[in-house]
Amino acid sequence: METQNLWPDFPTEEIKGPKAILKEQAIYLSAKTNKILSADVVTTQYKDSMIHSFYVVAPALGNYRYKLFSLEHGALYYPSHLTWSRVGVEPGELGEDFIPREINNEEELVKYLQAVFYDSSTKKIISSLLSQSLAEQADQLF
Amino acid sequence: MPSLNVLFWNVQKKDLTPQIVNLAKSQDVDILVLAENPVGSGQLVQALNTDGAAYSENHPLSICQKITIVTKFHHNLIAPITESERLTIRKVKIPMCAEFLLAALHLPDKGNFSTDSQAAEAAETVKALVLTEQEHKQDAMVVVGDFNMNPFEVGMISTMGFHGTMSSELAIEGSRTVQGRTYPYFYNPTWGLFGDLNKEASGTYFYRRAEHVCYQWNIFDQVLLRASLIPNFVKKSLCIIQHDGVTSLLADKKRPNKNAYSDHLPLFFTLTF
Repeated sequence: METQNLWPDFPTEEIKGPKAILKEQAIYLSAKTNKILSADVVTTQYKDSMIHSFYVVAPALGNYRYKLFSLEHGALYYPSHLTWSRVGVEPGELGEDFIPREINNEEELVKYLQAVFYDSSTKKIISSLLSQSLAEQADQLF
Repeated sequence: MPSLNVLFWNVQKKDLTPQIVNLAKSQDVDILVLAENPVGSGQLVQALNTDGAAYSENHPLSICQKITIVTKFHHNLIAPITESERLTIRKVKIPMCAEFLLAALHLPDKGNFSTDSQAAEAAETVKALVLTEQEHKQDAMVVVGDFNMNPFEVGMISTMGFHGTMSSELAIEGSRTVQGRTYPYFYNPTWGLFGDLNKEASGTYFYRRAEHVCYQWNIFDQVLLRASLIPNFVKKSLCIIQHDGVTSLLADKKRPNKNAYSDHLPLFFTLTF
């Protein structure tokens, strides 16, 4: 006798994964800097983990790229771990910010990403790349 | 034949300017790569140039906090192209030398990362190296730094990691295929530096813990080369530096003098073109 279908109904709502969120933020960075800077999300697979690295790219500086942070998750999107280091902290403090932070849902991810983007260390990096890119563009004009 | 002398040293967040100056002179260093250097590169270059040398500061574009690179040639000839806090990849374009990529790194230590996490970090780092090689259409790459792993550890030998082999003959084949996927090799000559047969120090880093398995001597400081750069690597030049030319960097029992200097010993090698 044929068994009945034992599977439940699965929700079909589209879930936005961490990578999609990072890619959106990459587009927003480009818009925010008038396309002077862009960003790139590079994914590495290791064992059961997916690691998404978020790079800021400066096309005017020979496509110089800087990895701002990385986000790692397994088969499920959450919990994911964000690894980020602040630039410009005192030498004795180095490493303390390198501890991966656990993120349990999309809301936490968005909140934490905003904290990273608003941090003075990130602003310093973006501003530096922006001003050097503008200077390079100006040099090419004259 | 033009040659480049390269020295890497993790200075353990200490101002070791006098020892660095001694090393630069005694080893005739062309590319000086420092990890955990607390001294500004301007100040360092000033000290290096006191006796008429002409070292150039770390490239001003570089954001990589863990690595400082000063060179005997202008920093524009060794511009950063990909970086993170722990990795800087430079395009080296020196007259008379074939262009190549120099990656310098300082990976997370065993106190903060498990073996699995170190291997995952290695995989992510290698992805950055490969992407840079592809983007810049350049497969001549040398990687130097404090990997915080020994040459035999998973992150160093796995195809998913650095895929380093101790054999230049194997590495020069270029790559190895596993399950239909091809992985490029790195030649890791630092395998040959273990033990005390021809030197006093048995590695670059000494660490002892009261547990049953403990290597005690480690070689965390390594150099890796892609196949196309192997002919440029002077095998006999590779050594662990134990003396800065004026003073020994070792303490009693032939271990790094970490109280006076660094807990790591410098690594030196030469490339010819």
